[in-house]
Amino acid sequence: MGDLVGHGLVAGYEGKRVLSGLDVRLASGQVTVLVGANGSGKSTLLRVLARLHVPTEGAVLLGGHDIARDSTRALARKLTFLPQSPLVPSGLTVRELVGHGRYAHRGVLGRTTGDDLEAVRWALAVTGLEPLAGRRVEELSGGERQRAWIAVVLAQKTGVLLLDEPTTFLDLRYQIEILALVRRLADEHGLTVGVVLHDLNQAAAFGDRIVMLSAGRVVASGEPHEVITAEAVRDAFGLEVSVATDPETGRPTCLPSLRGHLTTKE
Amino acid sequence: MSTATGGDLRVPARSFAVIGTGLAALALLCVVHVGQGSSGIGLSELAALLTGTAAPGVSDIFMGSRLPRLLAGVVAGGALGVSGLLIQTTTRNQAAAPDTLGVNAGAYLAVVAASFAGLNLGALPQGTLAFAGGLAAALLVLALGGRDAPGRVILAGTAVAMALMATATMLLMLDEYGTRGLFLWGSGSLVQSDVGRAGGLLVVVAAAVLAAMALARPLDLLALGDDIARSLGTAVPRVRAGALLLAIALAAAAVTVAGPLAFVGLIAPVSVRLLGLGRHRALIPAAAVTGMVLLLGADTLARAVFDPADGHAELPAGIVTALLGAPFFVVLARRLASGHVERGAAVALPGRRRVPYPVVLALSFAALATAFVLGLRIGDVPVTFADMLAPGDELVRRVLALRVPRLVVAAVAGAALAAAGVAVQAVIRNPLAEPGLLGVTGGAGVAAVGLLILVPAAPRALLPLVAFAGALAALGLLVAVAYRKGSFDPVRVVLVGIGILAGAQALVYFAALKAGMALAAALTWMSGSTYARSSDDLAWLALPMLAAVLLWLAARPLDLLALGEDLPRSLGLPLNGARMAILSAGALLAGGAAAAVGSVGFVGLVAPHLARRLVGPGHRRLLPAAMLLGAALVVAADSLGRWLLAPKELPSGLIVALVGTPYLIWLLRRSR
Repeated sequence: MGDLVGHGLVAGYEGKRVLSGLDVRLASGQVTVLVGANGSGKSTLLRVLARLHVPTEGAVLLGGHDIARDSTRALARKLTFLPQSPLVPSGLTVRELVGHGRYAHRGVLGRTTGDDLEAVRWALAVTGLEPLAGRRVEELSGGERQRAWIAVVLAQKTGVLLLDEPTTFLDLRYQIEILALVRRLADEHGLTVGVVLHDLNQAAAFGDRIVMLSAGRVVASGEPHEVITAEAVRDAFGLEVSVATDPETGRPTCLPSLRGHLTTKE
Repeated sequence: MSTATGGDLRVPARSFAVIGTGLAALALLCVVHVGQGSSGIGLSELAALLTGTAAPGVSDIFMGSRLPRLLAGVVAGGALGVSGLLIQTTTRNQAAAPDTLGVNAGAYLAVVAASFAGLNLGALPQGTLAFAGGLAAALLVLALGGRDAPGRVILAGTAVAMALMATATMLLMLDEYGTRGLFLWGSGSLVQSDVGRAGGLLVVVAAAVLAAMALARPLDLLALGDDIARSLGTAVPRVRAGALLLAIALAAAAVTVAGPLAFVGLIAPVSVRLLGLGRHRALIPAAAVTGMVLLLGADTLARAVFDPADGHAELPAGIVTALLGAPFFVVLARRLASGHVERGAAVALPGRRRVPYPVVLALSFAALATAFVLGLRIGDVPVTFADMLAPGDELVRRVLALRVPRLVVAAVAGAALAAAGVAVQAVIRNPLAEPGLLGVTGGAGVAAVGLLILVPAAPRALLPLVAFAGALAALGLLVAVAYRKGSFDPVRVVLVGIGILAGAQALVYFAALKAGMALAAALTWMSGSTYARSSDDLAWLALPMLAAVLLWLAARPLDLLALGEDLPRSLGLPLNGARMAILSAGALLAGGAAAAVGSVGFVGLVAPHLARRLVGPGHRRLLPAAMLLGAALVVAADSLGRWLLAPKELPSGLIVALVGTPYLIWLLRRSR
């Protein structure tokens, strides 16, 4: 499939420039995590990469091919995006919902084929939703529901998966569960994953590469230990941190320095 | 020029400037207004009253006609301005007003019902009755709409108002003599028979405005949000309830004086806020003065354009305010973003065990067949079941030849309306969205009435075609205005549609009045009638039925639309193109149905809903089930309309509205 590459991207909303000419590369088969402060442009970047937001300058290439030239359906067979909090449709079962993921393959009039059934079965299996396939989506817990959404985009059988803050609104256990699933998708199924995360420690623990944004530019990118440094975090977030190494994973972890933020009782 | 500074707690100079300018405009309008009238007596004759040199009779005209009318404008305009302000503050909803919350319609229905029952009431008992009706409507709408869901509240308010107005219209049609005068009044008119009514209610309105002034400070805090207002020491529930009761009392007073006037209660408070006023101590008097200026201005304009001294028919001020207010509302709605594009106005119904699809189809078909057979039997000439199978008698054969096409048209139109509802609801992601509510059917009405008036000689066969073009035009306008920043905000679509509906209705009444057209005929058409339909009318439904088949084939995109803004596109659906195509199909269906049977509301709401509960949200099954149920509903309504008050015939549209209202109320209650 090849890498997903953004070149010289400039984008914004109503005269307000959010991305000011940045380059980014999501390497094939790897998990790339986008991090940055609020308003740094990470969600906009992800939407531009998914072609949900059209950049005013620059281009997004997938395996060397400009995605702007694909039809919506053709692109949706190669690349997909899961928004932060999709609308929960009422009355739909999990299996029916996941079936919607096959639209790019079936189209308006196409018949449901063995491939479609197999893709839905696979997506349910990978996300561990087989026992819940007949349940209604609105009956699911937060973590189960997020898995169901991921199953929808997995059923699309694309090479590239873009996730916008998939762990928001989930408690810690479900956050780890979702991130472990994302990790498996790259390791075991070869997907190219781009994901926006808020938690730097989770980004460092689960990402192959990290892209750190600040004010619409990439300020650091590379492997976690290259990106998560006290200097980079100070520049991007305006916060002092001390960076240590997680003895279990060998990945960097950072702790905010609270000096100056707390009043000490004498 | 404003002296307001951060620490200044007094009313700033800007408020005085606004109120002062308003008062000056009001004074000028009063002078112009009082000089207008059918007697042709002008300002110079009236001025002679001051010096005591007036001609005989001038005093009577001033006291008996001019002054009461002026007073009615002042009382109703001021009451509506303050009422709208209080409603907007308590609901924190810029689009809320006594008309969009159903208060006016509730008050109006109460008064019409009293008159229908033969009660001849004075101003205050009638006002009390109007208050009760308005209160009931407002409580219903607020209970159904829920707080912090502005679009939903307005949608609920409009639906309830439509139902209440339909009921009132039916009462008016049933009792042409007793309630005749109520029709003009039903559009909102300042015509008065004496000074007593407006004078009596002036006291009520003044007292209510003073009471509102006493609440000015807590109302300021309410704007900050319930929690903050409570933390700052406001008794939030008490203040809100008090302000709302005052607002309803004011609206009821206005309805008692002048009927349900459209949009005055919306425009006045929004305008004074746009002028930069923020504190209720200034907002309340400013809204009152603005309301008076608006209403008297509308009435002056109406009489300047159609000078009654030249023998023109009376143009109710309410039609002018609606004509001017509808575009204002549309622009306002365009500015209002829900802030929840993803969520929109979506209303989730609790899950329910589905009924097997074949069973639903069989039951729906059985319902349609039953309604059809009963419809064949009902009428002046009795037809037995045996006759239907083998009509022996010549008379029976002729009667059946009349009744069968009529029922077939009703059935197909019902199916088209249901399919239109399914299409519009899928795009707008709101099960309450209905082509009638969005002004699509209203557009058809404007075009049809326009043709009747402008080209009276046009062949009747052209009427459905023109109605159909009107429906498409209304939908095109809706789409053009509501499409902003690359997407449809579902709430914005609904609000813009409501504005278009109001404008279309006002245009129809305006045109009908201007042409002196038989109001009864216009009313009947607007209410939706299956009277005297023949198989020729089926031709208008051929293209819509084709659109329905295409929708059924395109069930998958319809399903995907439920997933919001981003996900459908990620899944490969060209979202805006799909929406346009599906909305156009909806317009074709609604326009075709309007062409065939006039404006029948609620079918597009009730039938898809019932079907959704039975077969779930998948459109491949939903669409056929909804169409069968829609057909059954309209056929049953046609039969009921002929049977209930035989030999009188009630338009099917009214029957459907009467069935649809309780369903809607139940639906809104369930879906909260």
